[in-house]
Amino acid sequence: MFEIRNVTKRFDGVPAVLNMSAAIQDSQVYGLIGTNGAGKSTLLRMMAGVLRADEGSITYNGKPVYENPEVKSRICFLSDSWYTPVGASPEDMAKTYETFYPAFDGKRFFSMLDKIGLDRKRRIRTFSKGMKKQVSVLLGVCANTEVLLCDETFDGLDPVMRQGVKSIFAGEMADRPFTPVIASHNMRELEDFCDEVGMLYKGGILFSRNLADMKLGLQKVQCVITDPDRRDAMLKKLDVVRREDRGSMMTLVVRGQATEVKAVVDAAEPVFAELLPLSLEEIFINETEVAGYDIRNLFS
Amino acid sequence: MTSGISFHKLVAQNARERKWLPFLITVTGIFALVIGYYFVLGDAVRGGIEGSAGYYDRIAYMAESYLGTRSAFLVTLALIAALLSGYSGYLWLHAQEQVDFYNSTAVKRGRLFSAIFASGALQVLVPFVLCDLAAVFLMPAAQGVFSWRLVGIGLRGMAFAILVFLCLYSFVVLSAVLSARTMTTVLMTALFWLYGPLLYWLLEALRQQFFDTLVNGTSDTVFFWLSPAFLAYGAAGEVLSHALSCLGILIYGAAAFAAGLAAYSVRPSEAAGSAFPFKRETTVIKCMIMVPSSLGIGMILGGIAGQNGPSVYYTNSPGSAVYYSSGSAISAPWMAFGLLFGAFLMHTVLELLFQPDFRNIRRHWKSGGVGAAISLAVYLFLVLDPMRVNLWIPNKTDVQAMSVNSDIANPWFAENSYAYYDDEQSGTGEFFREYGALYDLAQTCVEGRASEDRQVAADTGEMEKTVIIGYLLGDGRKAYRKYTVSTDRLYRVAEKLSESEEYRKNYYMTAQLPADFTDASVTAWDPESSTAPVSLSLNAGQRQALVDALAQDSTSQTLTQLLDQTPLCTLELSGMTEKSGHESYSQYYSHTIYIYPSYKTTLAQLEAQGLTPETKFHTSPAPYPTGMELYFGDGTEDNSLSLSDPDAIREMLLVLKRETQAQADRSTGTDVSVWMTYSDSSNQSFLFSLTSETTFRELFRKYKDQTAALPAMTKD
Repeated sequence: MFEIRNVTKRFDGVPAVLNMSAAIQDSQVYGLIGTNGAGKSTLLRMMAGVLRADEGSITYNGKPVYENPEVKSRICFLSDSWYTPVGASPEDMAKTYETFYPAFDGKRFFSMLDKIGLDRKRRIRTFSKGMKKQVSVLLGVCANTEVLLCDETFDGLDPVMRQGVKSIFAGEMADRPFTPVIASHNMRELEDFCDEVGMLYKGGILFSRNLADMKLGLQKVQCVITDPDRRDAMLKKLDVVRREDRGSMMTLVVRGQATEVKAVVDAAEPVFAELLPLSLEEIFINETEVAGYDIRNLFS
Repeated sequence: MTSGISFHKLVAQNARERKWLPFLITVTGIFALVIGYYFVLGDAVRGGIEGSAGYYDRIAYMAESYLGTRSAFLVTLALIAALLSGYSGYLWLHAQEQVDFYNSTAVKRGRLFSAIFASGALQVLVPFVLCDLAAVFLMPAAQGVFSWRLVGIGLRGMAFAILVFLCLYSFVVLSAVLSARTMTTVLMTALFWLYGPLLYWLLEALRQQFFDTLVNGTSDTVFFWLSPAFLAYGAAGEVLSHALSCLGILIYGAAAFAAGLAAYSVRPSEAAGSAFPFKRETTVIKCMIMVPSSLGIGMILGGIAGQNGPSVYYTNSPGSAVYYSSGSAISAPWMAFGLLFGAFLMHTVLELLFQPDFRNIRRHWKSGGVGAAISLAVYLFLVLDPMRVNLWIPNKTDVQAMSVNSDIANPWFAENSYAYYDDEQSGTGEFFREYGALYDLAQTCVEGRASEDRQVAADTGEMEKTVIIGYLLGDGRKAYRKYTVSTDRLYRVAEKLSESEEYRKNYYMTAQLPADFTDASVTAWDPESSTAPVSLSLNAGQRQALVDALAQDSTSQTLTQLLDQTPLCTLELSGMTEKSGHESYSQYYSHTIYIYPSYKTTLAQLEAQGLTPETKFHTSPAPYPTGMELYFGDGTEDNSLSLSDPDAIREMLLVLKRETQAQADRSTGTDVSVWMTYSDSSNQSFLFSLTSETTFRELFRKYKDQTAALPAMTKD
């Protein structure tokens, strides 16, 4: 388990991560989301042992990560700007990863490479951005480390490849201890991917929760209720997080289990009522508002 | 799970990433070492005749110069290889994605640093050693001059080149670790390789300009030791002791490696792309460059605007000039302006070098201000001399003994200047206790410097000489100061000092003559003619007896007593002397010594060789002068004088001789023609080229006023 305790990191006096605490359980896909400059990359680089925290501690299974080869051998980090030496091919990169990750499975790497149709001898610098990401993810998976830290790695992957990576991750998690930590600013990409998400904002973590729990606890309701008394009575009974009215159509985001919410809405005898799925983005917008942050101010 | 990343795997991995390096070294080695050595040996072979004396020495010399320990060429190759290997191995520290990759792997920083270091060294050294071995063994054989002596030279040269490479390579690596951009890495390398000597030269220039009384206590080669690159070239160029400089290179290299390792271990990974990785490093580096540069720019501008020519201080006694500055004076206001301008210029240049962002010039004004403030503080210290370093003189009661540079006493004894140095630091002679006149001279110099009564002495006609004065203080410490004084005054001090037997024994060059001369000859004293020298054939015992006699005769007399005499002849002694240092060598010497009539023992030695002054030189017993006519300049009434009083003639002759003593400066003074009439009715003319004429003019004026002008005699 990764444990991040009161971690602060400043660059030239400006805090990139400020007094952050979080815990990442083993064998789950953890999504780290946040706006640009939220501190995602800095946190990942500290978790990978690249950066030293100014304050606080980052441990993996109770042991500090920084300058600890024993712990770092269990972690593979794929940075946003993934490094490939000049003129290196996937084959060369496999040799490099064999050096630095002794458990690296070369056979599996080449087999997966062949499956997605990438030339193992072609220079990586001639690959497209998406192809480079594919190679980097495959190298990361084949490094056979317990933790794979991916910084914006999935940005740029096509839907097919993203689906392929998901199934690879699922397979890995089924076969061995494997914890992918994926940082991205694109919430839609992580929506159907993560077991748990942590949201960063201005160097701090707003929350870290199980995605399914969050989805279960928030409901989106669209309804048309013509009787104002019944409508008001219904609203009093619901824990409304957000409300939007368009004509007679009312859209609500409310806390509570789906069956309970549906029962309250039905009791108001709506002309029309429907429970809609919530997107991750909507969940975060609502949660940030609950946490005291007005998301509209982020872009004002 | 453990890391399991072996050191050799890391080395091999690094080698895979820069295969071009060993390839480049191999190609260069084949051309520069193997083929180049073949042609160098070929030249040596063709330039000599086999079997002749020195044939193999010449080949060995050429081998030593090309592939041996004296090869500046090898040092240059090592320097270039160090740059290539160091930069290619560690510039990844400046790229964020590479730092992310390498520092996220399960390798301790120290291990990674060492592995890359070893890899870079091996990629250069393996091909170099192979090429060098091929050159050392095969090329002499190909030229038909193979010998183990040549092999030894080559192998020693190889070891030296490896040592130099490792040292310089360590500094390049240290530069890369201490910087975070390519430009600042280059700047840092230049600092390590050049800063020490450049700073030394600047400080020396400032010392000469502002603290000119201080004696540079260091040797001329000290700046070599302030830079690993200079040290390597100094060792190869035979300027420094080879063994000692190799030790220095080794220590330098080890220190740089240790510093690089330590710095890398704490180097923040986020530094990549900024100018320098460590806090405050930017300000320190900036000040290190800004302060000397702005001082240098200030000096140049102040020098251009300053006044040229010597400045002089006159004491109250008429005619006794004491110089305080013989060189050009710097303009203090212009130097201050140049300094501030230089500070701004360097601030701008450095900021743009650190990060090409013009906004930083204003944004980082504080660090620029710190640099300018330090420069200004140094400037004020130099100009105001608040600690009165330049005017320092110990209390007379604290002085046990004093010393002075030995050559001030030489003109009485020899035609050529000769100094014996027993104090390596200052070049002064032995300390002596009856130093009153010397202390007075030093005090006058200090007072002169402190005085506001300064004049430009462009037209005084005074000759000057630099004198180094040593103080042996009561607590055993030694201190030295240097002054420029008029020769006239200096020689009168020397005359006064010569009243002490201790001074005479330590400072008369005739008391220190070597008995190992191989040639000796005697020439009659006759300034107007060129008499052929008479050679002496002396055995060892006679040589020793001759120098002993010279020492005995000369040291029994004061300089004034010697001045009162006209030399009978000159004795020339020449030979070779062994000089010791890191390399011993022989040096030719030649002393031309005046033999005065009072040198009875010496004359007896010469007489034993068949040289009798009465028969050979016709000058003794000397008839006394009965009349003197002198004239100078245009020889008109105002510039001529006739004397008939023997005492007046003697006094005038004494002054003329004294003021003609600095033989080396003879051509620069005023010529005084003298026509002498002697008691035996003979006449003789002399020409005195004065190097200092203050006293002469005083005396001339005195007798001119006293004596009615005699009819001027015609010039001989």
